[in-house]
Amino acid sequence: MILILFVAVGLLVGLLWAWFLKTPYHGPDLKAMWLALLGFLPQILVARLPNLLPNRMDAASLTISQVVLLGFAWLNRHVAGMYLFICGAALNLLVMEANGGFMPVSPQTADRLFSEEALLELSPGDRIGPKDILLLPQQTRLEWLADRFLPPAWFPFQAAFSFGDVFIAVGVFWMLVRPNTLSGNRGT
Amino acid sequence: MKQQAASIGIFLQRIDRQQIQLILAIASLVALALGSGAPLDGGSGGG
Repeated sequence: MILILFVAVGLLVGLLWAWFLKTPYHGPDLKAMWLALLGFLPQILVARLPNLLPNRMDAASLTISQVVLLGFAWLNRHVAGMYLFICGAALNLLVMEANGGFMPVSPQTADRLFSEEALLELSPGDRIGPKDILLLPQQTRLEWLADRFLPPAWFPFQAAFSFGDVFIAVGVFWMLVRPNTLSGNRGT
Repeated sequence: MKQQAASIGIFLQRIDRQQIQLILAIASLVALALGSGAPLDGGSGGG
């Protein structure tokens, strides 16, 4: 949910900036928006019906979904910030594919997010979220791209995030701030 | 019935096409970010 925060803050900054410049705010000019919603659909099913399909099918659904979303991003690469987003999405897809289709999280990282009791029930290789899998660092391929970063302990939204997530957050933020405000026109 | 249809028609006319575009664009970006990003939230089980 930390990514929704970036969407909300990006939208707010974009609106405030447009208000400051006394210009109407237009969102990014996206083509084929249905493709983004269609691409996200398999992930909703994986998240809402966690035990419906075997892990391998869930991994395949996630891969298909992410490839469709990358296709949507590529179709809209003219939007400011989209290349950053594409880099982030590609890095996440890469590390997930290298680790059986799920995002690896180490027990040390998960320790900050889950209670001790919850972690005691888990062992390496277990899924700990719709997209995540608990893996020891030495078992993880491309470990530097995994969900290994944590915000400061005082931050109200605790989440483990990856290098790719940083690119995605900045890209989305920029797409919402940039459209017609910093460039002075719609930029589309 | 006709009155209701007329009211709905007036309501729809009042909705700015650009506002609908903006709502759809934001919904698409949310789908894009949540679908491509993989932060693991504490307690909620991730996503």
